[in-house]
Amino acid sequence: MELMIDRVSKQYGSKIAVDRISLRLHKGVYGLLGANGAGKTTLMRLLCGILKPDSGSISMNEAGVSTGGASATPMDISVDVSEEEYRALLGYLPQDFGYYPDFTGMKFLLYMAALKGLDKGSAQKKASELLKLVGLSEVCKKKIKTYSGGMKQRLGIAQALLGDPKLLILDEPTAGLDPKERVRFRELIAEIGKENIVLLSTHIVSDIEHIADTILMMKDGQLIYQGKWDEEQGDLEEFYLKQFEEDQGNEESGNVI
Amino acid sequence: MKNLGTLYKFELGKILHRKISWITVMITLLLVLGALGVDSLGSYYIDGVKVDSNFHMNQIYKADQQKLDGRQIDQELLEEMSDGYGKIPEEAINGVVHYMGTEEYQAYARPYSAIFNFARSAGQMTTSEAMVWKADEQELYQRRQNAIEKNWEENFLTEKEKNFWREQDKKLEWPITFRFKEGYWHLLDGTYTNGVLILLAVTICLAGVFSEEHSRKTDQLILSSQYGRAPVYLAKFLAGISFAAGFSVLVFGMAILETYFLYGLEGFEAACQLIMPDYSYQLSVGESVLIACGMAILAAVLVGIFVMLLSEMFRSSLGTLALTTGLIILCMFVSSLPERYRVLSQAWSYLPSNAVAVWNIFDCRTVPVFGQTLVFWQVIPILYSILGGVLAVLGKKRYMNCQVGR
Repeated sequence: MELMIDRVSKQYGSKIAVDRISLRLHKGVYGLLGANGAGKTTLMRLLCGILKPDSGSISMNEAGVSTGGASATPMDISVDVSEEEYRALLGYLPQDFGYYPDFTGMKFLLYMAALKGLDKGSAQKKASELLKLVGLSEVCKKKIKTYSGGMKQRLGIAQALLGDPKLLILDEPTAGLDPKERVRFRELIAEIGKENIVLLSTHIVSDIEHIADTILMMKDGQLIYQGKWDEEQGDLEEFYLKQFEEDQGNEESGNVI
Repeated sequence: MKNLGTLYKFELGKILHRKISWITVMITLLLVLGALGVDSLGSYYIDGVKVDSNFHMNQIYKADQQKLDGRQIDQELLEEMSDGYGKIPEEAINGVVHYMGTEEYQAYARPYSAIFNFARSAGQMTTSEAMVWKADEQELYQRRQNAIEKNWEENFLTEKEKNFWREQDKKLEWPITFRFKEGYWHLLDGTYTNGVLILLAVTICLAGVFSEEHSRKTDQLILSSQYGRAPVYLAKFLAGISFAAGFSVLVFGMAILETYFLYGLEGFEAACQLIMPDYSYQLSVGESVLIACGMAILAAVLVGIFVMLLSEMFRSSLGTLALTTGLIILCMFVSSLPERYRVLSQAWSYLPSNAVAVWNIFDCRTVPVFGQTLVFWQVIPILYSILGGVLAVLGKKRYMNCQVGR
């Protein structure tokens, strides 16, 4: 299984949000770092098919699954079988995650399960499992509007995990989680990353430095770093801050692109 | 399509569970039931003097009409009516005192008031003219024919259309048989008000179907999910149109129920010409009411589809609401265009908020389709199916290509 991103660009007016990014993602956890406005969310939206790239293509190689192609056509939003299949492999937690205030946690997950093609029986079973996993079993019959920020975020994580996605895209997933929940979440992601592609964005280095197999750094729409990080290379946070505070991204050696 | 039923239930639930939907539905039902029942509430006044309750007077009129039920409006009955009205004192006919307040009216004329009203309406007479009119069956039906021909001229009917209506008119049974049909009269009378209220309510309830997903940012989750595009569009579309149709049926169902208790529903088979003397199509009053309800349901569904398209295009409930409500109100103020602009005027009458008006539903202007002459209520289902289909396709195209975060 391989997610191929080939020279993908997205521009809003004169601002280039994503600038000719090419990547190949395999099983594992990818930590996407970048300051606010670096283009992380736009890139993730492009990967989820909810934004169209201006140029480039995104495709997924798994038996018979493709959202674009070698012809490098932009991902087409019009539904064809391959694109629906691509979305069937996808789990997504947006940064500003919307919900229905009058839905209960359980009803929300059942709705998301229907959207993801789960039948009634397995939707009920999976929703219960996930609510337990994120610690919301006790409040699953309460309306979401009564949930705290952290509870809503955990519900968002649960919905992203519905349907056992092969490609999990999480935009700032730890926002609103307390330290204990963050640790539990990291463990969960590390486990999922063993068999699937997990791409998670954050601007908090500690969220990913221990679980990400690969670090990706974005700045001004461009990918300025891509590679593994180990302790021998020094402190990741220090390196990260250096890229953004001292504006030396392109002058760094090694894995800096 | 997998899970379509489940998605449909969720989408319908979203519409029904919104507070604004409940409030709108309740207010609309109250207004509809109130408007229909207002004739039976309060007191009955003649010349500012309270003489009875409206409800009791309705019962009296009902009893009067039931006595005449089944009689042909022929020379004999017209003479009885004429004799009764002839007993009203001259000062009442001249308007010095109100004729309904006279003992003579109550004793001799009132029992024939329904026949009087038919003769006045069919013969295109004023009340004063009708009171002194010398009963003549032939003259009455000739007067009706003249009025119909005049109406055709005013509406710029082609010779083919006139022949069509002449053929229809030949099928009618004359002299017409009088039937008690008060309930159907009230239902037809309320169709326009009910129809416009339904259209406004449907607009309010469906304005957020797509736009709220964008404003709530739930669109990101929906659009990135496997069935988030075509199946969700279809589920939302079906939920929207079934809400519009279901709500219309509920409104008319409640109106019919209230009519049953207030006026009764006897006389379904009565000829519609008892209520609309200048309409030449062979229909019963019951069928006319069902056709009028059908037009309102179709108009509600088309408006629902239009509103959902705007909801996706504007991504704003308020913008959708403002534009659609504005159009409905415009049509209320400009209910018809001058007849001399035949095509424009006729097209205007097909707009949903005009298509709920009885005077348009039973209009004499027709449309030729593949050699057939179709009347208004036969055109609407075809026209609205085509328009609804086009709007649905446009909406789908828009939704399938929608992106978030723009």
